[in-house]
Amino acid sequence: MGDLRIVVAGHVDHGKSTIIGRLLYDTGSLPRQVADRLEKAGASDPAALACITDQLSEEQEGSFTLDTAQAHFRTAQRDYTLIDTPGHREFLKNMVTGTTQADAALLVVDAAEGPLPQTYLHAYLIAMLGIREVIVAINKMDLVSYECHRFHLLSRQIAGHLQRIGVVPRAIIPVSAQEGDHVVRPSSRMSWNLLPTLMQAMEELVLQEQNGYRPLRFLVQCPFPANGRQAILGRVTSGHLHQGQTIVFDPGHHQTAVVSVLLGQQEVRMASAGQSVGLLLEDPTPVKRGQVGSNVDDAPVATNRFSARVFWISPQSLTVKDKIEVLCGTQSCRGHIERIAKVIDPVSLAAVKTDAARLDDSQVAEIVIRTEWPVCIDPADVVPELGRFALLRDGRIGGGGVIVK
Amino acid sequence: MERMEELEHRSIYIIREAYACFQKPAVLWSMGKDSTVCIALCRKAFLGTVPFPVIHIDTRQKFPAMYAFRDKWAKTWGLNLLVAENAAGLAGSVDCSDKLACCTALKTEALKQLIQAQGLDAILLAIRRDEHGVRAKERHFSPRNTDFQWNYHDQPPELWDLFGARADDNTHVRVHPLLDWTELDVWRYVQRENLPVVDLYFAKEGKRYRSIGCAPCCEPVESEATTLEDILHELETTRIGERQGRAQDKEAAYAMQQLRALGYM
Repeated sequence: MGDLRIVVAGHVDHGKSTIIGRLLYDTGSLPRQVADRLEKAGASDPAALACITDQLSEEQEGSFTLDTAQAHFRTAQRDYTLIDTPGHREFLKNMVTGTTQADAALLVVDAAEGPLPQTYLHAYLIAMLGIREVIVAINKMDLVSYECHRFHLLSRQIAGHLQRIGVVPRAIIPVSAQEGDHVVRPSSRMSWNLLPTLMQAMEELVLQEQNGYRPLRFLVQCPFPANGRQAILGRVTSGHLHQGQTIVFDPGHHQTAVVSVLLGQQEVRMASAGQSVGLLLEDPTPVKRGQVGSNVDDAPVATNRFSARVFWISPQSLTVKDKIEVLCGTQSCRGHIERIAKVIDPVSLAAVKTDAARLDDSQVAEIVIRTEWPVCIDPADVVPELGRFALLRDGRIGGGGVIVK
Repeated sequence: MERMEELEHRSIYIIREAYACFQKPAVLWSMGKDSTVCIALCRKAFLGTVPFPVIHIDTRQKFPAMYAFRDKWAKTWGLNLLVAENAAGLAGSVDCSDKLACCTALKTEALKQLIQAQGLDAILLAIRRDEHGVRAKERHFSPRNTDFQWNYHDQPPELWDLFGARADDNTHVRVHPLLDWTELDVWRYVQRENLPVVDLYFAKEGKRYRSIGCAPCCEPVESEATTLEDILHELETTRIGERQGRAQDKEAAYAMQQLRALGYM
């Protein structure tokens, strides 16, 4: 089975870093030295497990996660990367950074406190960013005396909310990361609980292969001189291409044939999704960075106006008419915000404001963007790389989103 | 795609993004296993050549085998090798018993001088998240400020594979193509690609180096691994940390954080 990258999200202090520490410790993945230190600290230091990923002095002294971190471990079945994220609202940019690197999510909810604002915002972002494999851990069951009733109440509440944002959780598991209950080892303190452990639920996650037709999309990174010829370097992000075929590069609609496909110094017959290759083309002259190569009858839509669901993660609000730059694939295009159609409340899912003048830090919205020249886009569920983008303002990334149409 | 192939192709993508988005990039090469893999990935990214300078930060304290390795492979691969030294630091009175001061003077300062002299705007380097908890916090594109510092309090967001982070004028961005790799991945790649490595990594008389740098600050670990297969087997079963033999990591708590905030690799 392939790798699985799981982002661990949820409200401040609900136990994200502690669950990661527990997973690493109980699977025997920690270096001996670190494990020894933990054992020595024992019950006297409840923050010890969280400190495995919270490695900055500020994080350890303040007992919170400031920036996202990643930890890697293996089971007999596959490689896992756990992506820790901060739960504080002011560090949302770091949470989003971690989430965009994930294929699956673990949403952590405190059994005593229940879902709180960041639980909802994180869940909304997970859904918006297209992560479908979601597990919910109801943590700190020790604080509610491992009570069956409390678990079922929360479980129903959260499943109901997730359903409204289009997420069907694969499992909702009661755990106590601090006490080690039901994370990797089954717990005897919840005799009512017949669910798999969190680790078992993770092992059961299967990334859904995209079904159906995958169009060829070759993202041009740059032309590069190779032995007196101009090679075009880039990545096949979807579908496949082969020697001898005709490709069209958009925007610009330049049609030419692939003379050869190079993987390093080696000539190969074809290249498929995920591969970074070099192409020798019959006529490479007009091809430049940002263009997208595709089959002639199946090019992406090139448009200079699109609607999107976005998140804004900069302290300076985004306002209508702001000049921005859109990064999508290897494309980079100047433009402006035409409309902030709806600012959404991630808890009630209702519009807080329609036709808003501005979008503040940590808010999510539906907006309309107009660009100065056409950008190649695809539906995010067909070609994710051309269905999502980053928004730069004054040369800095301030937000991002997923194209609606 | 299997893990190794996915890591390789994503690293190549990152290396090419650095090349396409910056005016004057360069790559650091310490002759260690990670940066040697990074050089191999650069060669693969650019169809057999490395189209930017390759920098060795020389403290004159490296193992003799590392210098021999550098000269041999720089020539074989046709690298544009630049050796960076902090001449004043080497001539002066750096207190080598103070690891933080020594690393900062002989490595960070040497790099700073070279970046300024060459006008470099991006530095590719082969750090990995699993090496150290502080490195686990890094981004693939990580800007440094005008004082050369890493502002880990307020890193820019990095969304998907859209590497939009840029530095202010007169400073540079660190690019980390191997950030997602583990120590085991690096060795598997060395084996798959049949890459050369300094023979200090192989056991002699029951000891080998897991991590190499300046000779006075590296200790070998107990090991019987005399071949690549042995190393892979050892890493699949060991629970000893990779940098156990590195002096920098044994200093006071948060030494790595302080070093890195000042611009250390």
